[in-house]
Amino acid sequence: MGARILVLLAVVVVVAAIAAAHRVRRGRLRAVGGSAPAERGTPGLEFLGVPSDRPGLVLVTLPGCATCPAARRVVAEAADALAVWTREVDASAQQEAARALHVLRAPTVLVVGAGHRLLARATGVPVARELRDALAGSPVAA
Amino acid sequence: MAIDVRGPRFSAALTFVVLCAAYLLQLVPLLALQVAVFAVGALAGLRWSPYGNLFRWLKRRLDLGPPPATEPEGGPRFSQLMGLLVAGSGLIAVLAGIPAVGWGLVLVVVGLSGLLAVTGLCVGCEVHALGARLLRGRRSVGGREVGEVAP
Repeated sequence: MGARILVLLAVVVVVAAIAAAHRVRRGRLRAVGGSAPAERGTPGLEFLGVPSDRPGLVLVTLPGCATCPAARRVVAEAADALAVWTREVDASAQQEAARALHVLRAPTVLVVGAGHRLLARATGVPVARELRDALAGSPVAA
Repeated sequence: MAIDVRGPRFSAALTFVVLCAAYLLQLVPLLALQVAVFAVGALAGLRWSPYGNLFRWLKRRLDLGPPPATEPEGGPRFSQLMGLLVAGSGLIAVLAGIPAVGWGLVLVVVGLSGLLAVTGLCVGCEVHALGARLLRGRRSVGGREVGEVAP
């Protein structure tokens, strides 16, 4: 019995570690391909027809996705604060675009710079301050 | 069928408790009971899941309110199938006289259900979404699952 309690505790510790790592990474913005040439643009974004002359935010959602409403709110607030465009993409309706943008989960937020350049992306509900920083051109943690 | 996102987490918490008890007390019938619960959810659908029905009953009794969000049944149901395969193999191994292997498999299910209960991270749903993506790449089926992130 004593040994089994220890084994079970070990399992709980491992699970807690995975949970903590997941919680830290979720919703955090990651910089995207900083070395990519700016003039090439991103095929998925051209497909969506979002503005290419100024920065903005793309939010990829799914119907019934649990955390999408919260992500939608954060994106709208950040876009309002900085007066940039936003575009919501329903991945179930626009699978081509979602695939071209390498979106694997909903919600995913893409920070798009001028010239359709992908600056950063976050999976899960984004952190408002990070979105504002990325849009304002501040460096994003890689 | 869309389900309340709280349902799978409640079921996972119950699964965690039941399998922990089965392991600690080495209760093979309790393990068999959990395998049966997995089988009902996976094969008959979550509508028939015993834990799901218990959750719905509690929801009415305790007035838990409307679902904060819903999700398609596919991911959680696939997770029940994964649970059935892993815990079922564990049960067979225990009955076949290799308890170390059997309870080891049970502990894998304990870990995954604990993870879902505490964080909402559903590994089975992730596998299901990945599989749907790969299948869609091969033969373009229309579908809605790109892979949801549970709360």
